[in-house]
Amino acid sequence: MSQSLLLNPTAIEAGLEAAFVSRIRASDKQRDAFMRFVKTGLPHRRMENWRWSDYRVRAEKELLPDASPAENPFSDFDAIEIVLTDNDITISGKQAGLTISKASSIAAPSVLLDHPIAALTEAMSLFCIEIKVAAGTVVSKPIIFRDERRSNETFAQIQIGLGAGSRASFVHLASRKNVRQSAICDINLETDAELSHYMMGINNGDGINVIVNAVTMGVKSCYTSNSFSTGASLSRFETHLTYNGDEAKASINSATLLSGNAHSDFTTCIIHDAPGCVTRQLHKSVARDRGSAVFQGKFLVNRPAQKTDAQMTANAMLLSDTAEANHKPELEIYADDVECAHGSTAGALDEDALFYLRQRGLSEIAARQILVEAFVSEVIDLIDDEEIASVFKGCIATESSGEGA
Amino acid sequence: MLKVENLHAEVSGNQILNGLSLNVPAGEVHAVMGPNGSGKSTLSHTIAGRSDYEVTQGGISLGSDDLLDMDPNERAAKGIFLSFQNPMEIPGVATMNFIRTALNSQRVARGEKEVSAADFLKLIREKAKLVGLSDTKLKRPFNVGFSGGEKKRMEMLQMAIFEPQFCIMDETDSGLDIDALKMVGDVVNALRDKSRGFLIITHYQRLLDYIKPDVVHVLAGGRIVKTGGPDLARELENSGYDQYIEAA
Repeated sequence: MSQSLLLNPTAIEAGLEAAFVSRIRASDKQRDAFMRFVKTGLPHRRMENWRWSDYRVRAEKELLPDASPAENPFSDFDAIEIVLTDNDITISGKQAGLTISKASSIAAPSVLLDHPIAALTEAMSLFCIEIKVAAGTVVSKPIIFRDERRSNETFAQIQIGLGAGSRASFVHLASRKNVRQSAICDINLETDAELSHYMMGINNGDGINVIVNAVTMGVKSCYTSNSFSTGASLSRFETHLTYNGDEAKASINSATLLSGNAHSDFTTCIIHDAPGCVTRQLHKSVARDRGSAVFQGKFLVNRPAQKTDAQMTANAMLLSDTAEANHKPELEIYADDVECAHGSTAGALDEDALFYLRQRGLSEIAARQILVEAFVSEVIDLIDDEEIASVFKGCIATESSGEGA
Repeated sequence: MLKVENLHAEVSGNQILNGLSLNVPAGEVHAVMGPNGSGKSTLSHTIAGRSDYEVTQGGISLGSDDLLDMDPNERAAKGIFLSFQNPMEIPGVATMNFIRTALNSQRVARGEKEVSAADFLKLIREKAKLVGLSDTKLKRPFNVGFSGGEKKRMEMLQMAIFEPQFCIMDETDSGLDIDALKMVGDVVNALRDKSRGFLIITHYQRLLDYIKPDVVHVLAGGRIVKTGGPDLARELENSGYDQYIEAA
């Protein structure tokens, strides 16, 4: 038996290594990527960025295969769809100026060089989904990405490039139950390009769902990201955004509703490298039972990034004594003329408001549901697309109606 | 109608109500006046069923219904309405949607038909005019950014829409100007009839210029220490509560 490259590998790490070794067509770059992964293995709590999201431990949960089809709350949308199945990739819908193709796998974006899941995904991916929007093109329908592969360990690479002045919206739906899924999304916005990005992690059960985005911002480009998650054994949406061009804007928001043992992590690192850029972030999480919510946000404002205006807010509502929220906002600022702020709160449901609603005739369950939905609604109000906002609202109502049950 | 008998209640282990008894027959308006800290708000919250107000002795009933075993929403469906002293701001809750949900929850609990969206819209517009709240205010999240007076108008709007059997008004007059006081008087007087009862909790006589009470009670030290006619309110305005505080 050959010796493992990993130090004391867990069963899952050993399985990943065996899967990689058995691949015959891995490129040299992918071998390098696997060697980067081997340095740390699966992320664990002794790594600062993963201290509250111990992948290694949370991956130990046995995954009961789930044969039910992945949920699709966007099923009645008039959209351009990219669907990954075990053997193929299906692309439906076309528009002039938009190309979607299956390309060779790509190197992990440079900001993710030290990222174990990015390295693993690079090593394991057989291809990359490439979405290109030509300069000046406005993609009229949302582009919806769904991964419906059945295998219990999947990797996806997506590359999105928006040419100057183009516009598109991209929905990333992760709704398979009891699987470990990792996706890396490399996004590049050229001058004046605008991308609305939606991520939705629902019905992930005991699985693991990691989505890592690396976004590069051109001059006056605009990136909006709104996410909803009901957690998983480990769910992590990560966004690393770099402003390369002046006066660009990003708005990154999330709503999370957790029950049972569900865990959800929202991690962002925003690098301001150009002047006059604006960042807004709002993250709202509600946890009951033993749910645990994590928010880690960092603003790194480098010297050229004068007149930066960056704010992040994270609010958690804890509905039981065993629910947990961990927030870590960080500001690292080297420019002297900037406005940066962060705010973080954690609290229980407002008993006065609950009594008020019940005095008006609402049952305890209905009153709690209204207050939970009201708490996260601030994030939904930031979604411009009404059709997508209503899907988010529907998912929130479904999840919060279990509240108090 | 509303019968409170020998009520003892605690909040966080502190005994606030000490054997309070009160009987408001249908068709009557009773005023409860008393100094700060005498237990007026505890009385109103206890009748409405707030769970952290613990009744240690005594009883509360509405008609033939024993309220003590009921949840706040069940009491609301039976017709108990509390106009809050400090109404909540609830961001993210759409005002009209909430009031309609509340109205229909009460109706369904009573076995009545729900009010349709169209009928409700008509109803709320009509009542909003009565209490002086504009359409724009109804479209805002519940009470968000409202002045103290506007929040009280929102309480009166709900009271006018729900048409409750028994209305408890906890210092509804505080923070109101003369026009708003008159509006409160109009809402109450329009609802006054033989089947409905009111308990008006206040520090001052002035609201009682607009709503003529049948009976005035003085609450001090968690008990009713004196009961009289409308003249008692005027007398209190002149003499203050000192004698009752000492007596309690």
